[in-house]
Amino acid sequence: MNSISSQIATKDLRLDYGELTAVNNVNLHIPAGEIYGLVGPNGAGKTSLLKMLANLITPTYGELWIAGIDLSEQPRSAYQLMGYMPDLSPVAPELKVWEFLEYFAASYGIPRDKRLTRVNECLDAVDMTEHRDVYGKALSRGMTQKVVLAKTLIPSPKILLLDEPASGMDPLARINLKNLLLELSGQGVTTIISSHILTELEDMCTSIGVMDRGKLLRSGELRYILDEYAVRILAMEAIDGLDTAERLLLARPDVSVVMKTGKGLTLEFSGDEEDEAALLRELIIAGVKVTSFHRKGTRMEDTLINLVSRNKNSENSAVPATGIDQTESLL
Amino acid sequence: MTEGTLQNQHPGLHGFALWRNPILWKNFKSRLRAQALFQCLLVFITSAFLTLIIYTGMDTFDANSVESARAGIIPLLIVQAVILMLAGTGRITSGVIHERVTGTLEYTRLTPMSPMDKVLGYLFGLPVREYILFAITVPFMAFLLIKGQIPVNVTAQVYLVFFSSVLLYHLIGLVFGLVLKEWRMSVLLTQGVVILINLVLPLFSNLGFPFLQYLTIRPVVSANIMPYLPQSSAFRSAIPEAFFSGDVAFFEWSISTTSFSLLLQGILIFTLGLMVYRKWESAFNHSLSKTYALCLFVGLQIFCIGTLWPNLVGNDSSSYAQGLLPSDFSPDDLAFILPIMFSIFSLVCVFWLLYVITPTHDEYRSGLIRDRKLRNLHLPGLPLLDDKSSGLLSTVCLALLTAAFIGFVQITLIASSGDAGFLTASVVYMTDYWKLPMASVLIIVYFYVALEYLELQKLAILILCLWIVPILLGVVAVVTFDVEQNWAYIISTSPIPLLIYSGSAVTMTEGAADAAEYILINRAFWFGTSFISLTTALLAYKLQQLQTRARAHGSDR
Repeated sequence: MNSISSQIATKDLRLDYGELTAVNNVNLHIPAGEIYGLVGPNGAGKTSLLKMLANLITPTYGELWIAGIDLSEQPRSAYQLMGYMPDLSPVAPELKVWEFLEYFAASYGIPRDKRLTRVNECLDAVDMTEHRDVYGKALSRGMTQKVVLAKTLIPSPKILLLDEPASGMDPLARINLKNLLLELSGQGVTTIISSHILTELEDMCTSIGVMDRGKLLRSGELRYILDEYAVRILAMEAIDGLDTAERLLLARPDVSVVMKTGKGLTLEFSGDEEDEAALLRELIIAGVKVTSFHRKGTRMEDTLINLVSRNKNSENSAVPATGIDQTESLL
Repeated sequence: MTEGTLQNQHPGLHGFALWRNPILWKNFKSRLRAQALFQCLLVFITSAFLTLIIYTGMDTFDANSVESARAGIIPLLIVQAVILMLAGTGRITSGVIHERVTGTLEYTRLTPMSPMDKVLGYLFGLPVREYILFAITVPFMAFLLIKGQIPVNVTAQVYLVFFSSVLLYHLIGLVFGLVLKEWRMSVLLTQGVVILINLVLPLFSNLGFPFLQYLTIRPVVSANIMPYLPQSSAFRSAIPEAFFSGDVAFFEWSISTTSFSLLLQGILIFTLGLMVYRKWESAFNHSLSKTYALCLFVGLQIFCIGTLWPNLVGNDSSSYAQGLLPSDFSPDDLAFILPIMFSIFSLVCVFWLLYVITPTHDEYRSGLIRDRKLRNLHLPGLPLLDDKSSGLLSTVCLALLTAAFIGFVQITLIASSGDAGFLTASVVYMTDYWKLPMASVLIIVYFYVALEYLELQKLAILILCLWIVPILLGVVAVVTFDVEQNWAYIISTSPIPLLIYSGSAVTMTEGAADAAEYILINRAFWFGTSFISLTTALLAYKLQQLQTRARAHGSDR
């Protein structure tokens, strides 16, 4: 069964807030050691999904397994394996950083003689050792994030659920976070990380899920999704017919931006490989003397925009005759 | 980083080993820093000043060191009560809300500590400073008790109930902290509730609920400490001698004040503890299970009837339930007021329990899913009294129990009429005695159906429109238009007046059955009953439609 072999698995997971469906039939299967990036615009349902995985919200429908444990049946067993870091998470202001972490070390049953060692390890991992005696109320936003991350690491969780962990962190801390997650992944820790800073996810995630309006639009290995949905940056050079090429390109719906660069043009192209070949053929037929035509790269932000806009278009063009969404919210 | 420090450990097994409780230790660290020193000094100085000024002052004038010491006991007890009951309870509520605001509560929820660890940790951890402040007053109190030659068993009884009350109030604070959102307001509200319990609830003795005063330490102090106070003590003169007897009439038994207080408070402590435990076990649990709610209701009814018993059988009709009657009331008036007051108490209990146990729409739908999941695994489906099952069965049980208890109170009163008891023979109009239980059942079903169909916010609007507005309209009609007859019909559409009409009919004397007043009340009763029945039927139909749709939709998935 998939739910058993996966570290994190969900089946037909759905969450309704009254008439609003925050998460709509999400099926996830994330194997051990994976760093799974959860991306999507605001209100896509990322935080709700993470909170359900952390058992802070009960799903309206669906089932959840954490390391093969049915979360609705044995939540406490699952807590022992999980570390959850909420978005905009504060630190107890009346406690010093080390006291805050020691409290959680005790809560997770780490023996008294090993607690301080574990606290120091976690502080070291997030580069906060020198701030261990600072009160929670005196921490900056970025430092608070680091302390909460350290708290999340205290029980050495096998599963990390991180909701926007890098928000407020400086660039160095973000690089640190990336390295830390990669190191933990090497140790078999499974991570789900939601973030708006997509370029960072691109560097560390092995797979991603794109959410919009409660639906998981795509989920899978990062490179396949980038290949399939990426907006490609194409560069072309020509010895003649650049104006014709520019005019022709701007007329196409799959070309969004065209910039002149000396003898050539750079453009953002949302078609697939077939479309790319067709575009080149069209340019040559139009008399443009192309000397170079190649891909410069892809942008994850554009992939997200591309996926979300496709979702919106398909929803707008769908005929709401059956009215599934309306009848789904019966109570 | 080292790998897997925790993997094979078994946390959360501290249980009652409080000294190992992480929440307690966290509060020790955060609440016993240097800032606490000022409060400690303040309490020390206050206690020392009180003790010395009363003891040495009286000793100087009366030249009796025993009486001087005794005179200081109550003031110091008040200081202790303020520290633990007021400040401690407020601290618990504000502490829980503070932890929720700072996210620590959510983090703690996700730790594998047992629910018992979390309950005990917060219960004794948050007011840890107040316990230290209390400890500072103990040597002074010990001095007064020893010098005042107060027997050890008296001291033990008072402090048993004192700590039982503290625990009760702290649990109330914990429940409020888990429910309320606004920080400062919640502290004031919780402390207000403690003051209400101590100063206002005892007044309910006069309305037929004498057992409510045993939620405070007042009866135990009155029964045990007051007899030792000097005759000149202001505290002694404030309490009637009757309270010094130390026994509570409960049915035909006589129970000591201490035992009765501990029993009543114990039940409530267990109930509140259970509510908090269940919330820590899972935030999605109801505070009380349906089964426990039914048992609790029976327990509360027995406590209420037990302490009303002297009034019901006429052994001691002068003690209680006089607050709503004129000073020259006759014993027959009790036959009118007691069943109605008892019905109102029962309905308040039922409404609260229904609010706690009735599932929301989301919970009901989630229950259907779980039921199907269990059946797919060839297990028995969701139990009828599960949190997520419909509240219909428990409502029916509560309604029938209410009717039975009200009926019992009425029958007991009827048995006390004529030669057999203290009421006159003609006071009870026998053919109408079923109206009050029936009206109670109808009102309970009305409330339940409205709650389960409309949920809390819309129910509040319904109560405002259909329960309160008719009463106001009736008053306006009488004052403005002088419509003397029709106001009774308007008001009867509200459940509480309906209850009073149904109770009034019982106490009509047989000779007055043809009187215009009786005919009006009887017609208004039937008008109100019809209106409420129709409203209930309509709401029940809508609820049934909703649940049918949910079941049909659920089976498609």
